[in-house]
Amino acid sequence: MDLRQGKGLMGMDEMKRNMRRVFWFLFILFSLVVINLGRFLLIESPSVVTHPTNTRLKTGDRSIIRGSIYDSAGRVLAESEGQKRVYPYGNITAHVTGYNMYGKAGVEAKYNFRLESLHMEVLQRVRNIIDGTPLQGNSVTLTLDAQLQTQMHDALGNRRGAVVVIEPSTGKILSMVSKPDYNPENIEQTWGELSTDAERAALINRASQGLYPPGSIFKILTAAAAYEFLPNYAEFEYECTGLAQFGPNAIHCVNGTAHGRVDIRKAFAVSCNSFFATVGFKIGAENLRAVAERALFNTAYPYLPGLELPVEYTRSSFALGVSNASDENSVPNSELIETAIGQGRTLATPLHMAMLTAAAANGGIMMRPYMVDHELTDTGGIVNKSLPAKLCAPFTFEESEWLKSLMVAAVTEGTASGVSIPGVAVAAKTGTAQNGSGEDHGWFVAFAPADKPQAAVCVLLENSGGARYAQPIARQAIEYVLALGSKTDIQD
Amino acid sequence: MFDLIVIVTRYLFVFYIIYFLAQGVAYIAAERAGPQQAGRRKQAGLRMRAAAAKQRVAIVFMHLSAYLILAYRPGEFRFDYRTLLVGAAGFVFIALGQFAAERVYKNSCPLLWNGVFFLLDTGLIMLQRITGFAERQIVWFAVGFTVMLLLPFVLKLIPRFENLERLYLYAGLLLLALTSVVGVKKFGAYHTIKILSLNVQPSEAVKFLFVFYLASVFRKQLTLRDMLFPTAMSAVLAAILTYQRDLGAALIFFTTFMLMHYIATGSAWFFAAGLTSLAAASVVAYKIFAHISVRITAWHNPWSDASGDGYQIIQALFAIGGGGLWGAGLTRGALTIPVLESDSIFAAICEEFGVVFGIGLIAVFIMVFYRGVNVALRCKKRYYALLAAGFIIILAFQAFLILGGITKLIPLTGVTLPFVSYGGSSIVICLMMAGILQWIYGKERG
Repeated sequence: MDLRQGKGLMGMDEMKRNMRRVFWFLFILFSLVVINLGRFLLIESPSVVTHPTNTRLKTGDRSIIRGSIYDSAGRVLAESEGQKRVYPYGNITAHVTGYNMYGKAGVEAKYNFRLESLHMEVLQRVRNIIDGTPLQGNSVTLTLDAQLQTQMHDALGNRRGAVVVIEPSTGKILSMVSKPDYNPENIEQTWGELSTDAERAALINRASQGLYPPGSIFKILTAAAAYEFLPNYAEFEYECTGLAQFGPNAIHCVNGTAHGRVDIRKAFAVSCNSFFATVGFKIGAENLRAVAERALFNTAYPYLPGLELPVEYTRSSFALGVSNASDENSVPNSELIETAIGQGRTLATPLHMAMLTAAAANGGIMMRPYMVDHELTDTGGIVNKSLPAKLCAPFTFEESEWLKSLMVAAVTEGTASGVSIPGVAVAAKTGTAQNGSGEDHGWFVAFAPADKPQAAVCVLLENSGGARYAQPIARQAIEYVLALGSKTDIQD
Repeated sequence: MFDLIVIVTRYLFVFYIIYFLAQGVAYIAAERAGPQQAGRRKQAGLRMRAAAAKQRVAIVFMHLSAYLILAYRPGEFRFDYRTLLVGAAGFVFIALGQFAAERVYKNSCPLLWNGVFFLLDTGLIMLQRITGFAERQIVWFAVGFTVMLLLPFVLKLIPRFENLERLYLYAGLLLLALTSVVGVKKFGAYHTIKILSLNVQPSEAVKFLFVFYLASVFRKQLTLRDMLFPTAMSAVLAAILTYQRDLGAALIFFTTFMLMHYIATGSAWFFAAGLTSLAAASVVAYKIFAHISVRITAWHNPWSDASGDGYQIIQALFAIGGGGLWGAGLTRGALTIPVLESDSIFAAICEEFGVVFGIGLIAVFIMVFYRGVNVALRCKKRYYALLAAGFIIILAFQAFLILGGITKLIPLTGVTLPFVSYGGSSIVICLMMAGILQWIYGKERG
């Protein structure tokens, strides 16, 4: 102001006040640098330094023995013998352990720094000098069960696909199999073939990276949306003729089967496409999107920073154009009705569908999936123990109980009867995903026991024509986990 | 064994810097307590001198520890003589430099000297990790120091140099214009000229002249019309620098102008208007100049081009993250960052000495700037106050630009880290600025 009126020179005192302000301004700038540096180091750097282009990964300290990878029972999945890295389970755990060469993958990549970090480095080095004790990097213990993993690997046989088994109450990943696979021990000899064969794509972890149309298992979400947005969802009945016409577009039930008069419970059990397309149309695209996105579609899984899954993953995508379905008189959006039954452009990973199933099993709460239980130091001490954490809540408790009853009905009186186990209430949903590459993909998700779930399973079989081959695999997983549970109960 | 020593000394270096800072705090505490109790004045003076002496001891110990590690060849069980020689030269510089500086600059502030020497020495140790740079840096230290020691005599020769504002301005413009004509391209910017095989950045010298110019302008009573010319001239300077792709320098000139204007006039609206026009200019520049949008993209998402434009910032993040809190240990960093000797030196320091040391180094910077502001605040003459404030602003903002840039707080602009980075013109000019601050401190004291 004095400037414009030319009042004269500003007094020295005022000028010094301004100087102090400028100093504080600069001080704040420096504080921002410090805060940002601390934030980076504590929050971002654990995931930044594992980036494959970090050449520090390749120039590791040769004198340090790389730590081992164990399953939940202490079975060795990977260990170092001299300069060689051995994988006793070979192909069976390949997609989980990853390989220790060519940029690394899986746990070997994500835990590379930890595996070559020395716990109490000063102490270890002192011991190393005194009595030659080798420098031992930290080991990693997974939540994986190598026996279950072996069974699932064998059950998949020569089929392409993936299996994910999760403990719903904790989010522990008990098994993650993807086929085709490779042997991480021979990666050097087979690399040329593995990295160039895009058709087989054996290096891709289909369980967490493979994107497939979810097919009818998406009806779990459509049913949840009906529960939330259709006031008369329980009474609503529909006469299925095997075909539902929406203007120029038609939705067919599998094999054109006419299911007759169905309510939502029956329609879910028999996987009636016509019913769910009709319901999806009533729900509208925005509401369906809201439910799907709450269940982490279109979201890079918000794992706790630095504690993300040690496998490469892809986010599931809910793709649906702007809808005009809210306008009763408008032409139905063909994409909306397709999406409501899991077709259309919506894509999901088997891991994500396993997480969704686990959420339905766990009272609507989706736990953060994790695979590394803890790290072991050179002296056997436990560090960085992972604790179960809530990831999100796709469903309310009442909603999850209702979904559970639908999924139980699918086993007792519907398409998922192949998974039924005598004396155990199993909840499940089948899915058949039409796709551009030949035969339909078969999906199957299940959890059991329904009242106190111990395992949630997702099986995906590429081009298997339907869910019938997937059901016995899921049953085998559930039986294994239940048998293990009862064994430990006796021991307790 | 050697690995063990390197790992243990990581904590030693952190101890040195914390001790150094603690003595700095003790110095300031004694100074503040002094004037209030007349009888204790002498005692406070003694405490201050003791604290400053302890700081010097910390620098010497840091220098010796670092050079013993740097010179050792673990496989051959011997010390490398050449490295030891550079270390000895550095030691002589620290010892003699401070001695000479306190003789020439009577009544100078030891805290400010110590801060500057700590930064210089940290830079030297880091440069020793890259073949050949430390030796040349020592030469630049000598040159810069000689110039700095001559400065008081030169200033004495020029009567009333506050009246030479036009001279500063035209000399600055001429230097920049010269760079445009005979400049050589380095790191995508045309701001370097080659003199006798040495790369010199005239924009460094222009910074020095620019502060003299602004202080001369702002010391007088100004109407809005009087402001037009300096504002336009500052804009021209910034425009030439932007054209020469020296974005960092352009930003530094702009900020120095705005902040000095604020100090001299207290007009917040001008400052706000300046920020707004800067934002507008940035948006326009982002759209028009490819080299600017590249930098913004590299900052916003370096991973989109991890081996190209984002390479430097990603390597810096790898280095900082890889070093962690305590660092990998001196000589154990991977040092894969490009332009290690200048832009990226802070990331390299974080990798080998750890982020705790890095934050300590930022604290040393803050200490130096706090001291500089003190110099400005005790001035009785308006001109000197403005001059001191100008140098502080220019040094502090430049340090912020590169510290924030290399840690991905702001887009990276290639400027040197004052006193730490390698770079002839940078070291010489920074030392000259420190010299002027001390000169003003001695002149306006008592």
